Amino acid sequence: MLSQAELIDPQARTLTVRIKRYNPEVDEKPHWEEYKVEADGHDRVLDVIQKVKWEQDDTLSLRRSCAHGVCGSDAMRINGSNGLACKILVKNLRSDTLTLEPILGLPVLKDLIVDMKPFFDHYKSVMPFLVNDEQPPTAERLQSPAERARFDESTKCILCACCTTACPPFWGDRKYVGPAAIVNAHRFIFDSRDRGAAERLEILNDAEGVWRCRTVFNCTSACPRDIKVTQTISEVKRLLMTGNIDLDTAPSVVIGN
Amino acid sequence: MPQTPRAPHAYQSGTLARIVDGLRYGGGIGQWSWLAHRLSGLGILFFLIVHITDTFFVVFAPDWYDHTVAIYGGVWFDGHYYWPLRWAFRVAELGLIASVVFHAINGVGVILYDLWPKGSLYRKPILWTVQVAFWGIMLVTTPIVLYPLRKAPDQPAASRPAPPPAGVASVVPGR
Repeated sequence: MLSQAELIDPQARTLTVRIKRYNPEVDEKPHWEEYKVEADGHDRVLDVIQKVKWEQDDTLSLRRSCAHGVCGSDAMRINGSNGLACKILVKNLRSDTLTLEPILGLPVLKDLIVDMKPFFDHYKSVMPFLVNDEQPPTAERLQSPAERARFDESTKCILCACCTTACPPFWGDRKYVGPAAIVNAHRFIFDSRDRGAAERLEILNDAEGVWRCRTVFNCTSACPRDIKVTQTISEVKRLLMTGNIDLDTAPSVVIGN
Repeated sequence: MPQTPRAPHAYQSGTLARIVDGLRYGGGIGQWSWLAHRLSGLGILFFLIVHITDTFFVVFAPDWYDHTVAIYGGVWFDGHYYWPLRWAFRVAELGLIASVVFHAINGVGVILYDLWPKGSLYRKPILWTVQVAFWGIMLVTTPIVLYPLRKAPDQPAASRPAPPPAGVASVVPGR
């Protein structure tokens, strides 16, 4: 049985929530609106937004699905940096002002919802699927633990677009494939079962491919799955420079951090 | 392939709005280093254009070259010394030194990220090393560059530059 003191969360706080609103039927461009929300320290930012939507202003629009950091649909700009609203707790916010904006660089459809089509078009352009025309074995295609570990980092991507929309080169140039697409190309390029590496590298060896990356590292700090995004991009760059995929020897370099 | 239906008025932020929003992004020291690297590169490019132009005067019109160098020293076309002019060029020179130093040191870091297999994993130490090295060099350099500004140049300013020949004088503005 919890005592009364334990029931009252010492980290409860009143948040001033500033949200960049945009209604495509009325507004010319986005504007800011402010809400006051009583939040528990253990609430997620997503809970705060839902309190606004459910209790104060039901016209607020956002995407969210699983609400547990797996589906990647509630990517937004929280206090200036990209992240998943469902993975940031209120007690970890530095100030009592919570600023929410749609992710930058994609067209805003309504409020916090952006058009993800350009993002997924870039994703599709790197052929994010297994390419192997060889005769399939009767059982599964076997792989050693080391071979699997080689691309383990890039399998974690949930396509939330946090990295791509945190990338200054992408803000300036929407033709750039973006970090997320390169991470997903990396996932197959370094897979020993895949045979499409040459084609993918052909696509990425372009001014709008990996070479647009300026190692700003915004993607790495934005990634809610803690993927070392810049590292995976650098691996593709080095592969293009050396021409050596190094499927077997590279894991010790990557994992032995 | 089914197309995602699009809202009739999707808001696409303009270049200026994206620059403002981009500068507000919480990228921290990494993003500022990247921006400083790009801007210092542009600054160095601008200096090289100016420098190649004034050096070109040596062959094309030596008097113009003397004038140009005199202007860098604070002597305007009328032959008088103006201290704000000299200060402006000194401070700009300091900016040039800062640009070259930062671009060089940070450039080594960028090379490490791209070429050293573990470079990206040591991002924070590399960023802070760049900062320490840059400010260390600038702390020593800044007084050396700015110290001569404490007094006017030794030579009487009015005597420089030498009066140009009549043919060139008409080309130089302000004469």
